[in-house]
Amino acid sequence: MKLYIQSKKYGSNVVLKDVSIEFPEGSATLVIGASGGGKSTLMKSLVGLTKFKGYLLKDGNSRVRFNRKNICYISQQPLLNPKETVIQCLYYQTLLSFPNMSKTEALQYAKCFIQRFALSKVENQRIRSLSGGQQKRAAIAHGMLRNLPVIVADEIDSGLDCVLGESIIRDLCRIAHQEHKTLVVISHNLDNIRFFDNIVILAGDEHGTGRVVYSGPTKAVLKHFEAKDIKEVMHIVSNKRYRQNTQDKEEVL
Amino acid sequence: MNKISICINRYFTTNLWTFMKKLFLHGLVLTFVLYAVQEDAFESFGATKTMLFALCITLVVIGFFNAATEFHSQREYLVFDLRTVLPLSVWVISTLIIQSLLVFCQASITVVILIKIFSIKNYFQYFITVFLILFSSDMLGFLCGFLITSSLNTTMSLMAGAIIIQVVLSGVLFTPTGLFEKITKAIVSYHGMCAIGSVADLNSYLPAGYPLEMMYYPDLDYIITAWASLLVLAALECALGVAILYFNLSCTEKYSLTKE
Ligand SMILES: Nc1ncnc2c1ncn2[C@@H]1O[C@H](COP(=O)(O)OP(=O)(O)OP(=O)(O)O)[C@@H](O)[C@H]1O
Ligand SMILES: [Mg+2]
Repeated sequence: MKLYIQSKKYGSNVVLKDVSIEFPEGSATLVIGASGGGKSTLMKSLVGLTKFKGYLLKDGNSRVRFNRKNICYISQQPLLNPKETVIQCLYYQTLLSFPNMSKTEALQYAKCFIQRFALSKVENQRIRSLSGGQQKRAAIAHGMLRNLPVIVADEIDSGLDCVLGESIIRDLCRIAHQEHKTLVVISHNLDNIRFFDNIVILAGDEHGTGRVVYSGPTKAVLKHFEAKDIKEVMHIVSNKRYRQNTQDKEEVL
Repeated sequence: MNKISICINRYFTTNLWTFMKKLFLHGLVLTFVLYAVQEDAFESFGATKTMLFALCITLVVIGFFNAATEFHSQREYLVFDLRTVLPLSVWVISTLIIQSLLVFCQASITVVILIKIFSIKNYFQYFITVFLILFSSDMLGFLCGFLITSSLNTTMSLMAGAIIIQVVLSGVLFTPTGLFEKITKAIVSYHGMCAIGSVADLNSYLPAGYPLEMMYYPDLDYIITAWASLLVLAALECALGVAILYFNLSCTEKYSLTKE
């Protein structure tokens, strides 16, 4: 999957410009950047929730558009019916996603996901009575059960404790590798970076417009910035010591 | 077909209580209103007209709030579902079925109350009239629920505005002329008053010698025209609501393929 955004504006506010990112099939990509830097906007463009100038292609070489029906999107704020209980929510989502499934099968399937995301204790509670992290997990389960080839998750571990957050991210990355799914995750937790194959770093330029300052293998990121750890990279990036020149390459000022 | 039944099932597993609550409140409010205006009803012209007006406006308000608040609160996750697993047509059909069912029950309750208080005879005509008024304003609520996207506050003021327009332009407070006459063609309460006024044969309570009021012309053809107007209005409101929703869904999906 290759995303190219020539520009993305909200009114006169240019949020993203000249973004070009490849998401190789079967790989896990982590997107990081400052708060308000346009990460969620990037994801919304990716899944087609907002208009932008650019395109999403199947891969870098062909000119075939990627079919967005294959993308499962888990939004930053969970979008579930607050009146439904967890089990109802997942059960009906299963029925609607797989019309050929029988009712007992669907219930079994939904229970499976409840177990996987450690929601058994609260399965009969309404969504609105869940804690933030539980809601988030319900939303992840709700998205994951459709079993689509691409998973896009915005701030997947926000509101989760680090143990649970790590286990969910590790789980997702494992699924991506085993089942050859493309995973794109936004997270502010830099400790989990080791699970991902690729990393995308967004940073604002002198006008505050978001640009990609790094997009490539996780292994090479420290070397690229000549930093000793990823935190230092983020400091370098956020201090705006980086600016893009016309060839789209990074350069120390 | 399968998905439609899933949707209806889903609605009733979570909203059965809300559904019953709506029916209960409907009965309560209507009984209260009709008791308040029952004096001299079906005896003098003025009292009957007041009673019918109160009935009609109550029905419009109840029908309107059946849908408006519910759809507004659903909007966020509904759009998310409609983008992914739920085809728009399936959702629209199941919603129409659910709303018709609700309105059917409310109309039955209304007719029972009318029979209890006023011992009306032609209850089948009353039933159809009440059903159509409720359904038509329900669809208006459906439309308003989707019209405003941002905050509940804005939607609330829009709803209040819609209700005020319904009261003022119902054709009872004054006889609209000119531009207003054209506008009343799109007002649920106006057609509702026409229909219910002639079903109740309002003109027969006029003192001898007074000219008939054309708005309540007591003729079956006239009644059927009013019913048809209500139905057309409901269809238009529903279509507009769906169109807005469709536009919301599709406009964000578009993106331009520019050259590299
Ligand atoms: N619907 C919108 N209308 C107008 N401006 C918006 C809208 N959504 C986002 N923005 C603006 O776009 C910029 C980027 O927002 P975005 O949500 O993409 O940030 P983010 O990187 O996800 O931040 P966070 O890490 O806090 O979630 C912000 O300056 C925000 O004000
Ligand atoms: Mg965000």
